[in-house]
Amino acid sequence: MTVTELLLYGGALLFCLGLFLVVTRRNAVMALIGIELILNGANLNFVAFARQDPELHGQMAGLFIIVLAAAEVAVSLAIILNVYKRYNTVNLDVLDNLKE
Amino acid sequence: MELPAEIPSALYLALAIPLVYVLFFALQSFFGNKFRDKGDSLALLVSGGNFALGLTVFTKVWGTHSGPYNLGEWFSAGPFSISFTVHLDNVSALMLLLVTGITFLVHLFSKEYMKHDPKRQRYWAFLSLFSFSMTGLVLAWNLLLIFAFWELVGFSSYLLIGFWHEGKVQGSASQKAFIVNRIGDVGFIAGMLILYVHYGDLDLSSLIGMSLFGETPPGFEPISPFWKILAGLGLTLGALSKSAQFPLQVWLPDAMAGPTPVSSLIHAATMVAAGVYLLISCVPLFHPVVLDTLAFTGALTALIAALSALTQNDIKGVLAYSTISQLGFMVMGVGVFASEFSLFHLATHAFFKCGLFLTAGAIIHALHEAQKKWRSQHGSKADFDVQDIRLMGGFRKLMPRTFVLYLIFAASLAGLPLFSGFLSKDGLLLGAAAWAKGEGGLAFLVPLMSVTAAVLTAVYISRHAILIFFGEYRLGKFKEGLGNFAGQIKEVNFWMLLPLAVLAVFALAPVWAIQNPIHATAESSWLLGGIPAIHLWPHETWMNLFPWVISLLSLAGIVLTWNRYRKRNIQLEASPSGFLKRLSYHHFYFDSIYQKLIVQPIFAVSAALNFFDKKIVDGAVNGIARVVLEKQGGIRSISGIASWVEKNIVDRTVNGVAGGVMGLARRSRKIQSGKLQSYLILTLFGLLLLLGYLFYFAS
Repeated sequence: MTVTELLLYGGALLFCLGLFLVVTRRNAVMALIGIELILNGANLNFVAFARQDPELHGQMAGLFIIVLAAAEVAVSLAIILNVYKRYNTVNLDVLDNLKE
Repeated sequence: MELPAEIPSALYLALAIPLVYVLFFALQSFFGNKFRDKGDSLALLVSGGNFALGLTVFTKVWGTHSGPYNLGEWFSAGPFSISFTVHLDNVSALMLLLVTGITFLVHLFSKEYMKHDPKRQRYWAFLSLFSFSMTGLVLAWNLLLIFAFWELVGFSSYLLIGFWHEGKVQGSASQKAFIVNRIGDVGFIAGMLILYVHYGDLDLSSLIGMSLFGETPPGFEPISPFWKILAGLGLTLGALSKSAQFPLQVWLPDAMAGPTPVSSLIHAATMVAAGVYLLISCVPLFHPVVLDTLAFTGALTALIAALSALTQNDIKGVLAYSTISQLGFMVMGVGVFASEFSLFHLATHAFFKCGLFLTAGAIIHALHEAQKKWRSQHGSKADFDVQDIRLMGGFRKLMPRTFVLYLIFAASLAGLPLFSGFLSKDGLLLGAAAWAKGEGGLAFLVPLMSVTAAVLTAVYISRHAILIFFGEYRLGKFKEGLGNFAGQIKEVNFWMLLPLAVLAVFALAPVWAIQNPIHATAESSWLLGGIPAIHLWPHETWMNLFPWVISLLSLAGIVLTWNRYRKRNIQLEASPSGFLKRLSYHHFYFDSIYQKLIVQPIFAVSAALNFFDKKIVDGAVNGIARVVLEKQGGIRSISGIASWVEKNIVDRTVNGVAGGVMGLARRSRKIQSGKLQSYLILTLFGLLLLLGYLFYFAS
C-alpha cells in the first residue's frame, strides 16, 4: 500500500465517520462536528493527489478548504445560535417543522 | 330587360311622396303624444305638401313616358333576385295624384270630424301609414314589391277599421277584413310563384314584355295554357279580395265600423281600387279564360251588391254595397277589354264615392253635435242610432249646403248625363255590350247584369237620397220626446264643406272630357287620351244610342223610387218582411253561409285539436312523467331506482377508492418526518443507487 492509497483510505474513513456523526447525533453541534470531519476527509483526498503534482494544485485546494471550513463553521454556529433562540432547543429530533 | 340608367327629377319627387308619409308616420307614432293639437296641423301640412308633390309629378309625367327604373337590388338568393323596380308612367302618375289629393281632402275633413277624439294622434299616424303604402304600391313595378305594399295597405286598413274598437276580438270587423284579405293573398302568392317558375323574374316590365310577344326566357319551358290560367286566376283572387268582389266581398260592409273619413278614403277611393289597379296593370299577363272570369265575376258582383243596397237602413251600409257594385263594374271592364274605362271609372268613382261618404260623415257629425247640445240643454240623452236613415228625413232644409253637394255626387253615381259617372260607366257598359256581341253565347249575361246593376244604382241611391233629405224629419215619430230634435241639427262648418266642394267639382263631366261631355273617347277626354287602350270592337251606330237608353232607364227608376218612397209610411222594423227583401237585406246570406260552412267548421276543428292536445298529448307526457318521478304503490319509480343505485353502489365504490387512496397517502406521508437527518439518509441512499447504476451497469 502506497502513501497515496493510505491517504485516500484515511480520507474515506474520516468521511464515513463524519457521515455517521451527522446522521446519528441528536445535538446539532455534534452534527456540525460531523460535517467538519466530512470536509476534512475530502481535504485529504486533495492532498493525496497533490503528491503526484509538481505544481501542488491539491495543496492549494487544501488550504482553500480549510479556510472555507472555518468560515462555514462560523456561519453554521450562528445559525444554530439563532435556532436555539427561536425554539429553545438544539435537539434535531424535536426540530421537525419541515414535516408536511 | 334593359332599364334606362338615368333617373329623371320627377322620379325623385315621386319617391319623396311615400318617404314623407312614412317619416311622418314614424314621427307621429313616437312623438304624437308630445304634439297634442299641433299634430293636427302637422298632419295637414304633410298631406298638403305631398299633394303638391303629387300634382307636380303629375304635370311633369303626364304625356311623357317614364319607363321602369331599377333602383337597386333588394335581395337575392342564388339565381333568384328581386330589385326595387319602380315605374312612373301616366297611370301611376294619375294614381299618385288621386291618392295624395284625396288623402289631403280627407285630412281636412278629419280635422273637424275627429276633433273630439282623444286618440286622434294615432289616427293621423295610421292614415299616414296607409298613404305611404298606397303610394308605394302605385310606384312599384315588381310583383313582390307590390305585394309588400299590398300587405301594408291591408294592415293599415285593419288598424283603421278597428280604430274605435281596439282590444275587442269577438265580432271584430277589422279581423274579418284582414283574414278575408289573407285568403286573396294566397292567390296572389300562388300567381307570383307560377310566374316566377315560368319566367324567372317578377319584374312586371319583363313579364309583360315576354307575355305580349309570347317569348320564353332562355333555359325555361314555355308556359302552358293551364299554368297561365292558374297564374292569372291567382292574381285575380288577390285582386278580388282587396277590391271586395264575389266571393270575398263580405268584409267591406263590416268595415263601415271604422271612422267615416277612413271609409271614404280607404274603402271607397283608394285601397279597394288597388285590386282594380293590379288587374289593369297585369292585363297583358292574362289568358282569355281569366279575362272571361273577370267579366262574369265583376258583373255578378255588381248585380248582387246593387240588389243588397236596395234595402239597407244604415247610411254607410248603402254606400258600402254601392262601392262593391261599382268596383264590380271596374273589374268587369278589365275582362271585356275596356280597361281604360275601368281606370277612368276608378278615378271618377274615387271622387263621387268619397264625396258621398264624407257627406254621410257630415250628417253623422251634425247629428252627434246635435245630441251633445240636446244633452246639455235638456239633461237627458238623445239616444238613437245616428246612422239609421229611417230616422232621418227633411235634411235638405236642415243641411242645405250638404244637400246640394250630395245631389251632385248621387247624380254622378247614378250615371246621369253631364256628370262624371255617366262618362265612365257609359264606356264600361258599351265595352261590355260590344264584347258580348263579339263573343256570342252566354256572354250576353255580362252586359245584361251590368245594365241591370246600373239601373238599380239609380234606384238605391234615390231611395237613400229621399229617405235622408226629403220629406219631414221622422225622429219624433219613432222616439218619444225627441220631436224637437231637428232644431239642434246645424249645417257642418267650413272645414268639412270645403273638401266636399272640391270633390264635387270633379264629379262633373266637363272636368274629365271638355270637348264632348256626353261621350268620352280618347279624343274628347284628356284622361283616356293618356291611357293605353286595347280596342277589339269596332264602333257601330247603335252604340251612340246606348248611353241614352241607360240614362232613360235610370231616370225611370228614379221616378218610380220617388213615387214609392215619398208617399210611404216608413216603418221601423227589425228585419224587412218578404222573401226578396230579406234576401237583399241580409246580402244574400253570404255572412251566414260563410259562418256555417267555413268559420264554424274551422272552430270545430280547432276545438277538436285543442281537446287532442290537452287530453292525449298532455296525458301521454304527464303519464311518462308520473312513471319516472312518482312512487307507484310500493314500487319505486325510475328516479327512485336511479337514486338507490347512486347511493348504494356508485357512492360506495367512489368512497372506497377514496379511502384506499387516503390510507396510502397516510402511510406515504411518514417519509416526510421533518427531521433533517432522515432526509440526509434518503439522499445518501439515492446517491448510492445512482453510483451503483453508473459503475456497474453503465460502463
